[in-house]
Amino acid sequence: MSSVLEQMSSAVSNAPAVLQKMKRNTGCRMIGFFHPVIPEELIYAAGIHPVRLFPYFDDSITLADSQLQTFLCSYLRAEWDQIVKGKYPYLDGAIIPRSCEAVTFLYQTWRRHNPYQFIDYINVPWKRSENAISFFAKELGRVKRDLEKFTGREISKDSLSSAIEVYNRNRELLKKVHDLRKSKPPFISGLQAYHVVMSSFVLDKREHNGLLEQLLTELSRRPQSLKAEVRLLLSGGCVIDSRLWGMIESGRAMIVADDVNNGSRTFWHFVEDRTNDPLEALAKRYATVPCGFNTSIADRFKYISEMITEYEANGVIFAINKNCESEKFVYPELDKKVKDKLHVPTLNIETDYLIDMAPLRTRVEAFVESLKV
Amino acid sequence: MALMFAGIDIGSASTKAILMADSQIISYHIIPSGSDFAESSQVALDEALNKSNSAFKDIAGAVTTGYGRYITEINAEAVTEITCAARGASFLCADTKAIVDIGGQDTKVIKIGKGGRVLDFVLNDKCAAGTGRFIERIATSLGLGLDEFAARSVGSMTKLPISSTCTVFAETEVISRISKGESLDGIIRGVHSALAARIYGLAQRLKIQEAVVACGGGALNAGLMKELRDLTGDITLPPTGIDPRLLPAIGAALIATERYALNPVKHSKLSRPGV
Amino acid sequence: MVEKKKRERPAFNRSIAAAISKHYKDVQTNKPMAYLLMASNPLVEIAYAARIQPAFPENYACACAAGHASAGYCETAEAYNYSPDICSYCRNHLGYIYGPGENPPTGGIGEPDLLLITSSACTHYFKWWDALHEIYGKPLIFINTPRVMEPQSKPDFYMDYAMREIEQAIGEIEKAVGVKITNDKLSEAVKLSGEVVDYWQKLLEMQKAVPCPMDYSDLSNALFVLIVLAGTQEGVDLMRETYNETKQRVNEGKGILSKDEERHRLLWINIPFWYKLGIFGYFEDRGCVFPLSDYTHHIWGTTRMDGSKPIESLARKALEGELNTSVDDQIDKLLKDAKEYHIDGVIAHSNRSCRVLSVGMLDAVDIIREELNIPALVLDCDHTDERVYSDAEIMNRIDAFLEMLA
Repeated sequence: MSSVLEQMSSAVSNAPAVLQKMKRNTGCRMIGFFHPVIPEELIYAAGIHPVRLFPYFDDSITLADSQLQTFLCSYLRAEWDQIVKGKYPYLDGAIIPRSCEAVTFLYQTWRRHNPYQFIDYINVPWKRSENAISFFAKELGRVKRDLEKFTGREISKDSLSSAIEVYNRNRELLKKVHDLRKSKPPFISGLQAYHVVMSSFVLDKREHNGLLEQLLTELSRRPQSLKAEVRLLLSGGCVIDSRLWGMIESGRAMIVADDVNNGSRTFWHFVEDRTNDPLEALAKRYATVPCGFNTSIADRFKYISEMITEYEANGVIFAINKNCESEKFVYPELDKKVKDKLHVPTLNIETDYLIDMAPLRTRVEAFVESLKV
Repeated sequence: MALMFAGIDIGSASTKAILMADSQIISYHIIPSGSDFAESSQVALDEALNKSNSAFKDIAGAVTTGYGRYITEINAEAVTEITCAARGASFLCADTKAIVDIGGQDTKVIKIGKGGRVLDFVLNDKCAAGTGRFIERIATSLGLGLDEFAARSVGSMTKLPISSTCTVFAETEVISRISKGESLDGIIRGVHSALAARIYGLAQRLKIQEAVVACGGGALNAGLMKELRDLTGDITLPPTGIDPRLLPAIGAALIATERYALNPVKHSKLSRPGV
Repeated sequence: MVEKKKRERPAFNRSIAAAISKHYKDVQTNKPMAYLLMASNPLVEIAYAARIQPAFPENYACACAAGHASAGYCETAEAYNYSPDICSYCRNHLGYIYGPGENPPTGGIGEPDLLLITSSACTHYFKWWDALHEIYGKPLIFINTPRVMEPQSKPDFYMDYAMREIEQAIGEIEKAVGVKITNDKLSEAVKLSGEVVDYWQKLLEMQKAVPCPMDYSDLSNALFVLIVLAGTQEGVDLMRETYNETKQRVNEGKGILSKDEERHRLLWINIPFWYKLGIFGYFEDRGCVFPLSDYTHHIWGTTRMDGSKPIESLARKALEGELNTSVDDQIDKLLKDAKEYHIDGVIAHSNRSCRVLSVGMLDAVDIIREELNIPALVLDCDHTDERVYSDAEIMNRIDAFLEMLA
């Protein structure tokens, strides 16, 4: 495996240590957030390191039960459990999006139980109209002022524009890596692509851009020999369990494209600041991120069908976490469309925090067997 | 001679009948509840009466408790096992601040005030992973008796965490891991530890930190108790010689005694079919 | 065992029952018909102003649950891949669509010509209407309102956004049904809605009386008038009748229980078990009444409506209801009201279907318990899916709670 890929996958599996070290070395503030709908550029431009929050897969949920009922998303419960247990000492606060209710209402729970940290929310619109985007830009203006108050430093237009530049470069490079999966066979596996994207949630974006450039050079010089008899698209919300990606690809199948929060949804759209109004440009871009909660079935189908065609997927696996109601609500009609209109077979599996892979493996293997030509 | 009172606890797993007089236990009997609660409550009470050489008519008053408290033909007053367990625990250990009752059907954490008064309580949500059934099912699927299952947990130096919180998935996980050659005892300890963690989480909801007494069938499981003690030091069993499953029945007999003292006429009309 | 008593219900229940059955006839016959959401929904008044017949699939779920048809409908929806994680109101309706059966409760709810939705409740509803849009192919008009996380410091541009969304929706509705919604018509509907709210607020105020004049099921019956008939003269008349009768009951010292019988005044948090409303009778037999609930007091009917400022009133309605605010707002209101309504115990339904009222509830219960020093019981259950309800388990917890109160 390429040394850059190794570096990236180690940043993901050792994220707490990596972040702790970064904090020690640079002394920078860090703010955590959920979902790809939080305009990270705003945090970055404030001189704060943005960290996308995911639970680490290493401990059973014990303390979170006091605040979050077991019928809520297990990833969120695990995340909160680890926050309560003090496993994120490097965090100085969080920004919570208005998304599904379990996430949205964590805003006040967080404030109540971690009162000394910065905590804010962003009313992400569930619409892409002009009204919605102009509202979103004002909402970002409010959060910008909150961040300025927190750091005691103004976020200038220039710093926002340069943050946008860094992030757009990151998107461009991530998309290039994603496109390596178009070829037959793909130049990079789904699990490797997972690590590439997930490491962007941990590392500084400039550093990550450097790594991505190196990776692209390495892969063009020494292409990997991968096999993909069956090409799959993976769809879901937070498909963050690396074991699942590995398991799906352990046979003859490869994940050649994805429609997940910790995948293409993160980098698919660019920020286009044509009028030199960075907040408006950010609002427009982040209102477009196709998450489960803010996107209609029709828009999701458009997104997914373009990807299926472009990446020549033979099948779709919906991997939705238990109690992820937004994704689960979209699934039945979306699934119907994929089957009826694209004639692409699908499989639905339910994930859970620390789930045993064996029963899922049986389902996936049978599905892949059914797809083999 | 002091008047005799009965406490009958018809639980989902076992039925316990106890006879008390003058705040002393005279005799008791425990049997599996089976599917006929009415029958098992009669049998348990008869056996307790036999052991003390007394007859049904000698009982001055009684209280029934547990899930089957209304499904008995013994015409006594019904009180929930939560109120009864608190009363029983405080009778046995006066400074008890809380009980963890690990039953077959559910796990209860009860916060107790003066005189065994219930201050607050929580029960597990609808999920077998928080109850004794979790351990029972996995032991059964491995073909091991509960005693051996617990003993292996206590004896294991390693603890291999079980990841599935769903009982059904945990069963398959355990079996597939054993077939891969992982340490059986380590896994068994992991099973006990998983249940202990869930019980601990439940107790955290009432912010309980002191003087906890464990009762219910789960308290008989040494493996589970060891894991619970690892999480929270201050958890004890009822005094030696008292089966931890008896607490609600003891409480029921004590409540029967108190109610009789308040109103002997109302609380002494005990009857059952054929008597 | 405690004796089960038959209690005389206030007479207004009969008038409301007649209005409900008329409503379910209207949704079958009147055209155009639109599906609307109950929440604090500004679209109800707009629909009446446009002479659109509104229908409410959530209310239909309550009717199905009361008729014990929901479990079957939820099962059907699950067979069509709608996961049990999804709100049972939605599953009930989707199950009804896919397999209504021979005799659906109230005769069914009919197919819509239009789908009107706001985001002022939760993601489930938004997704639900989107699925209906796929199923029926009818126009979907969506008002996106921002969630008011901090009611004390709500930014002004939230109101601007809500108002612009409402104006835009009015234009879209006019286009969809080919009707002009004049200012006069809208003002009239908002004015009538305001009159309903005024009576409702006075009605709630009377629940403070000891003994409590109405029980939870009477109040939730009256909610039908508040929500479904908001913007109609029929609604005003019915709410006035309800108010007048209740006022008379209070004046005569008449309660659901007599003054001597009423031993505990409890707060119910969240939606009731619609398939088991008899549970309130069980409490009443044991001396407990429920004069206060977030569901009856804080979710709807909280915004004073001004007919001379229709758009502004509707925007405030969309933003202010508790379904569009936050847990802290809920806690503040409950703490304040619990004192005024002389509450001495709490039953909180941790409702797996209703995230918006259940997330954060454990914290809320802890705070109420500590601040007011009253006992609280959390019941894990579901508002419509009867399969989640276990009688032995729920009643055991309630009995233990009542023993603790005694």
